[in-house]
Amino acid sequence: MVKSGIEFPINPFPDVEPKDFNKLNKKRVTEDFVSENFEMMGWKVFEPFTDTGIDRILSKKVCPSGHTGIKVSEDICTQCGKQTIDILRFLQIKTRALKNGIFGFTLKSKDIRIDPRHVYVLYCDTTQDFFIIPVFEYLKFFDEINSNPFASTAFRKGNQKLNSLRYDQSTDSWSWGRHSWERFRNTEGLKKMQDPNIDLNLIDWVKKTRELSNKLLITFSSGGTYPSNLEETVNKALASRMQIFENKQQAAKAKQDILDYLKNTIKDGALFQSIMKYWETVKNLEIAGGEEMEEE
Amino acid sequence: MERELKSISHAMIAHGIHIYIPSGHKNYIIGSRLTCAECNEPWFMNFTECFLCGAVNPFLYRCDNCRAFNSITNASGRCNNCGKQGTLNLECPNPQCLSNTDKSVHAAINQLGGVFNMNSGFKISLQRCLNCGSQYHKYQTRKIYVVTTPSTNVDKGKFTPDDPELLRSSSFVVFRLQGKDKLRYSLLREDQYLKIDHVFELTTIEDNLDGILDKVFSDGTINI
Repeated sequence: MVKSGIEFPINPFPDVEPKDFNKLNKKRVTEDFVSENFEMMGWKVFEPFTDTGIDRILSKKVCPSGHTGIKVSEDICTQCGKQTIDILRFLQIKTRALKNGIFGFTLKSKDIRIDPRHVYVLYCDTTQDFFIIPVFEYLKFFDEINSNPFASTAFRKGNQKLNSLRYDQSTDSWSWGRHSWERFRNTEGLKKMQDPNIDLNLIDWVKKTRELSNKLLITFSSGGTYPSNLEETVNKALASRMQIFENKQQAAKAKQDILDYLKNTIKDGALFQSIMKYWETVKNLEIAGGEEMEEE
Repeated sequence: MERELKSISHAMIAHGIHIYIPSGHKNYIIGSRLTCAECNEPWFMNFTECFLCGAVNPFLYRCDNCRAFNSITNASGRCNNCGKQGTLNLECPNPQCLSNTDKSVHAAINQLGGVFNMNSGFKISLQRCLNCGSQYHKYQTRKIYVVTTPSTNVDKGKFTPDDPELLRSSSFVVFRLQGKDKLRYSLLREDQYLKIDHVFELTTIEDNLDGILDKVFSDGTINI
């Protein structure tokens, strides 16, 4: 926690222990824990008025040349004198206790946003460690180690529990398989998170994140669910899908063609109208902070 | 949180905007939504599409026997068209999709209830804008102050924005004009508000909040 000389995170609530809560009632206290710690690092923290997918929005003033320290928010850079810029981050917080040395968590396909300001904060309340991982860094990690958890059916089913983040008490270090995760831990993660280049070149980063997301997410691994001979056929179809959808007009036309097909095929007008009603419900559920609709 | 801020917050939620509140007692809120980076339409991650072809989930069953579409509320498991039992699946509606053109793929996915059955693993969160087909999305965020005033003549001395330096280029002051029967609205950018004289006249008045929110959340698009 103090490798950089800065204590982060600290326990802002010394009257209570994480173990005093179970996983059903600790959401509020752990999100507050995260908020307080980021505020101590100079971030302005905004909490949702109603429940939404984004647990906190954070803002900070940092030097566009990256001089601002992780504990500072400043109007003028004390190092180079430049006017600072506002940076924004959108946090998704996952709090888990350590179980047999493992921090297990789940991310669904809807959690992979391509706005590079989207940040996962994994908080281990057993060791009081934060892992702060901007979405691009998260995707890049798997790309670099040549591992693709997003290709499995479990990821798209939304029940893929990732059980590879492990804590070694003897060395006080975290790793994902053979790969160190110290780069995302506490102050190291904070440094990555306040990189002003993301905000200064937002569009480039959106594109880069989409490219990486497409590479990893639009890939199929049959696993134990499907016959292995399906893999090649499906991946060919996915490649062709990607090619078609490079052109947004073609993607929009494809959607309209399917709607036209449904309109012409479904003779029952009410049944066709039910599609629009369900789409409206999906939108309203998301606005209300609800989960996606499950059909089965 | 002041009641007027709360009221505007609820109205904005009804318009599909997520509201965030600052720590401490402040006179502003943050409104945010995920939008298409190219056309600015809202982007809903809860929508699912076919992993293979990108067709949006139609929430319909399809009979594997007679190919008729059935309502998703059909609980009997019997096709309303041919009467066959156990043939309804949540298939992709696109006739060109591999899940419909390749027999082995079709059978393997339907074995698990079809593309849009949660067990099949062949649906994925929305990857393309429903409106323009773009593959890019981003968060759009605004800081919003609310001032309630009895007339279009506003005394600036009565309202001082908190944290004026924060997100200034995306900050707005929404004026609620309290009439006898109904509320009307006006809008200024925060930087305009900070520059003007002590007493000023609101010129553009809207009868409802929709027009105001359209202005606040416009100009979010980019050229990709």
